[in-house]
Amino acid sequence: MASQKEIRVKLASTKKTMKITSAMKLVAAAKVNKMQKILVQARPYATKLNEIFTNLKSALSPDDISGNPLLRSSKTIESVLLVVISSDRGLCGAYNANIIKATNKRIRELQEQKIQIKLITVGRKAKSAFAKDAYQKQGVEILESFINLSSIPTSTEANLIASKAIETFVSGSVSKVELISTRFISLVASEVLTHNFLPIENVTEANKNDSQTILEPSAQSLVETLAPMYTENKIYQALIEATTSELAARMTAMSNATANAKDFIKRLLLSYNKARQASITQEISEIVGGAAALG
Amino acid sequence: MATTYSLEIVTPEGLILNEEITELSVMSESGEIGILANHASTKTKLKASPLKFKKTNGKTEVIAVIGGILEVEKNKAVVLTEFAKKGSDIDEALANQAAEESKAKIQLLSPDASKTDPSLILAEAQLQKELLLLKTARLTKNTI
Repeated sequence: MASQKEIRVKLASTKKTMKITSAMKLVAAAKVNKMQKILVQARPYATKLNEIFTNLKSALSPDDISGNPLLRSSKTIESVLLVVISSDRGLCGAYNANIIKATNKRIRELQEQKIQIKLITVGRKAKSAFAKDAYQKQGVEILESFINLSSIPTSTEANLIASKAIETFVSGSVSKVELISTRFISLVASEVLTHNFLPIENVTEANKNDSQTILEPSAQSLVETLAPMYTENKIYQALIEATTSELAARMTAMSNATANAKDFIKRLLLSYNKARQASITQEISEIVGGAAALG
Repeated sequence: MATTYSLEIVTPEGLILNEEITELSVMSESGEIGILANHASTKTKLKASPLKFKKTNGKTEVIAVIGGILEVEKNKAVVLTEFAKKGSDIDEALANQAAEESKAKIQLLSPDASKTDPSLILAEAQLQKELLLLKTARLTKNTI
């Protein structure tokens, strides 16, 4: 059995840890509330943009589509760019592990089809996970890593990431861009999704009653304006969903950690009391034994 | 026939405005257009400009928008833009200061930076934005 002193030290440090985890839980809970509001606020823009864009796109001729660098799809896919969105900081349960697992799975799938893979990583965790030599040997190349994003993602940051992806796609060095990120479902649930990002595909069905609309200057030029807005917004949406999921995951993880610490403290206290009692008992029996020897 | 219609200004940061209005005036790529109620369905590209509208109580308001798209459909106008700010919310002194800072930055960069230098492009965009905010703030003052 551990000595009283050892147990006391352990008890003190566990109590400190519990204070930290419960503080982190409270902070995450406050932040997640704020992020959820932002998520709701951002929705009308995304919905409307999607609607207008899809309607306009349906007005385009196939020639117009192949003329737009963001809509043009290539017949053979030789290389794919994966945009992986993770977080800068840990202590959020399996959040980052899930992202990395999903990315690894996708990398394997693509490699089986002999497709070259390039990466853009967002967040420190994805950067450190994919910067390893093993990936470079397989030819998985990180084009750029974005780290130290602000705690509430801004559209400026989303634009930076989007423009890097667009640049790579338009230059022709990859024929497809996929986005791997976490979708926020609820405080206790989120899922990692891989979606096609570029070329832009139809997401919703267009309603075809738009023939009377005055388009100025032209459908083609409107789509040219909207396509970058659309891609940037998709990244922005992904960023805020990912941040919300990260905070929710952290909240759950920290709440579990606090509960565990509480449990552990209970057990430590018990063994501390046992040790104390044992030493008292021993002292008494020593005194009694000593007295008996004298007598 | 209705004489008013609704105007929504939506940005990624949320709904900036949702009001019943009687008149709207925007800068499109080909020039200024005015929109009254019962306008034909339209989609048009906007320039970075102050957007003016008249509320049902007769008061005119100004909002700065940076690019984006205006959609008019069935007596509902929607402006989708990445940035919008109400004239009454603009701090003129702050915008002035920011404009001066961007100007200084451009001065500092322009001798040796090429036209495609990202920091120069960013500084120029910032300057344009602050100038637009100033213009909008002044317009707001004049209309009230």
